[in-house]
Amino acid sequence: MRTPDAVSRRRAIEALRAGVPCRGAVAALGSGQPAIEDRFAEMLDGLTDSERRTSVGGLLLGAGFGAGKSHLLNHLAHQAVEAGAAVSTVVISKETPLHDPAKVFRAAVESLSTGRSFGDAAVAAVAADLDPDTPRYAALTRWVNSAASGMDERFAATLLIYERLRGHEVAGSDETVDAIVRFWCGDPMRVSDLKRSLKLVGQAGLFDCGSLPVRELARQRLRFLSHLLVAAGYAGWVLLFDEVELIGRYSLLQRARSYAEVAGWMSAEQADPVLAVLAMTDDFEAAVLSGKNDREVIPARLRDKQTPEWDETAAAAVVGMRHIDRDMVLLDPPDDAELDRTYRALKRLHGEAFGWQPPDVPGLERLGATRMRQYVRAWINEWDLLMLDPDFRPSTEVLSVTPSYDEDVDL
Amino acid sequence: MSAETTALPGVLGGGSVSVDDYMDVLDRHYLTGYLPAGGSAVKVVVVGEPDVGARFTDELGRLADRHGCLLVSIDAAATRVHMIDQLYAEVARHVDWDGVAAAIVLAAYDAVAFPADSASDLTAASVARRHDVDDRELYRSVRRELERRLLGDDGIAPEMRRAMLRLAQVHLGAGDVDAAEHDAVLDWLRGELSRITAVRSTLIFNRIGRHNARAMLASLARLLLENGYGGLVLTVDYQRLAVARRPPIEQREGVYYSRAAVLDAYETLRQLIDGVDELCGLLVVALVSPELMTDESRGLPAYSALQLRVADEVRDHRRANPFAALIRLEVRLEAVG
Repeated sequence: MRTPDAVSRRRAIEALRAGVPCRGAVAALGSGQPAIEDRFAEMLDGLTDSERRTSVGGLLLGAGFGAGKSHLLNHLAHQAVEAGAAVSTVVISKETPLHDPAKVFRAAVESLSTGRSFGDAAVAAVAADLDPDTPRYAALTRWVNSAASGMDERFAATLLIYERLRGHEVAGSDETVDAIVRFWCGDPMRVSDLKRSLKLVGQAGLFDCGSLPVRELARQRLRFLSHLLVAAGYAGWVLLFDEVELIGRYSLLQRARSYAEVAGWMSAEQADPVLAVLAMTDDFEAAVLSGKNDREVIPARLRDKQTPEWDETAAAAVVGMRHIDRDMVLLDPPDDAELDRTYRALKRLHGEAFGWQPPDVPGLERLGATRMRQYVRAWINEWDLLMLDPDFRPSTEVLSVTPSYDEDVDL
Repeated sequence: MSAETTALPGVLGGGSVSVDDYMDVLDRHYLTGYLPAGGSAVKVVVVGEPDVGARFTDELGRLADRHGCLLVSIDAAATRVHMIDQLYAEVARHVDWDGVAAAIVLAAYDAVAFPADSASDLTAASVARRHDVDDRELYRSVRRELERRLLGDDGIAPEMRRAMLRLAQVHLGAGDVDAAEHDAVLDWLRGELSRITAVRSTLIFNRIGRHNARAMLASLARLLLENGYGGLVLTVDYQRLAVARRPPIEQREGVYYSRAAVLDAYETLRQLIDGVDELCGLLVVALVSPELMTDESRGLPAYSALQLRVADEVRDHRRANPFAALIRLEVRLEAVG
């Protein structure tokens, strides 16, 4: 087992043991969700069409723990890259709370994949691919300079500086170009440095760059980067959000902001080349929206604050909760045919990964409550044990691990 | 075959594996073939008794050595394991960066068909003398080859590529990198650089911090694999996370973790588990105590994202699987809560 293919298959088995998706596993097993794949493909088509884009909106997926949401998101990521889009997968976590646009943006950049490079290096490569002589680039400069875009002038300014300094033999230009790319990726840039750079390219005083709230700056960075990607030849930016149900463990105000963010991501009004897919557990409505009475409590609590900002958040939170209520697309549970297909693919994968012929194994009894992850882990576990001892007779048991939605201040 | 399903929140019980048996599996199925070919894995290992833990890490050290792997052992009591940049820095301090650069230069001389005699003298002048060719021409050829190898390697973070090019140039002996720049590049690679301007001439403008440390760790592992190592084996002892109350100040030693920091540490580990596609030639072994398996405040049950990834919710009735994401080393079944 030394060929790259064997290593890739072995890596897939390692990932499946932990229940995390990886390229090899998704390639071998597929997604088992053709209806969702078709719907996503249609949305991808809308992404590239600027006139249709405003009616695309986001996609909210739901299923139980271990039912295959992450695996599906990984599959959609491949679909998006094949369609020419750049992709980010953001796992909502302690480090990346959904209610914090700046942290979400940073996580999106760190996980950005263009199919050729990742993270900040991908942004640098995308910027390097910009060709000022193309209609796409002209469209970018028109957009970023137009009042209608609502973009802060620092984005037009940094784009101009980048264009003027990139590749030219001006002292200090490498550092300035690097600083601009890092600004686009989420690093701070002092207004004084921006002004100095504008002076360097003979554009001093032409841009007005005042202060911008952190949350709004994050939103604008995301919008700008999506248009930059299109200018560099990509179809747009697909953002896949996993483990969104973690918002159920936030404080009330954090949940409110998170619901408002859900509304933003699902919005069909945006004209930016961004397509969002959010995955969360299908019991969220019962456990949190109803269980914690968020539908009533959140709007009331926010409106009690009596500020325009909180009123706006309340309205957006209501929209976000409504999306969760009404627009969640549920994953199809696996039927016998799907389980048989997955079993055969996994058996082949295990054999190719370890260079042996796995025998048939019984795995788990096929019950409605059994999750796909449990079936997969059981099969792999049994093959692992038989590989070590062909005379052993596996006897698999399952102990469900069910996360709670209790509030956790440390998250 | 049974398929009983019982909902018992927080239970992560199961059978255990002996140190010798687990070493055998790591030897045959991870460090032979898989890791050197670019594979990666993250394992959580429960160690109950200190002597079991010590035996395990000693044996793992010998195994890593036999396979030409770099083994780095990190203790949460000494290193802030909830910060990925601190994890990276601790690993980076164990790397012989000049040695890796020398390996790169040796390979470059081979590629331009003028092999160097040894890694102890890689100057263009010496190698040129050995082959009776013009040293300036040889320098240009090997320098181009180094740029092609390093700057074109998409698997390594761009700034690390530039740093390694600079270290490689030192070996060529043409004087384009002075001692101060060499030392600054080493400090940067180790996460110890105090003034970022010191590496500006290397076209590095960014410190290694939380935002890029994971990419740097992945790049470091790949760099080692590409230059003669069998892989990188990283053990991280998380047992300090179980200490909820700091001792009196005169008894304190090292790092103590708030609950929030404990969750951060688990998040860092979770990200490594999820990074299976990006990681190459890296085996991470996270050592935890049995109490961290059941403690709902500071243990794995406190962070469901990690718990769901490693818990052996599906297991054999009678035999532990040594390939599993979670391994119990000579430790008893945890008590059911």
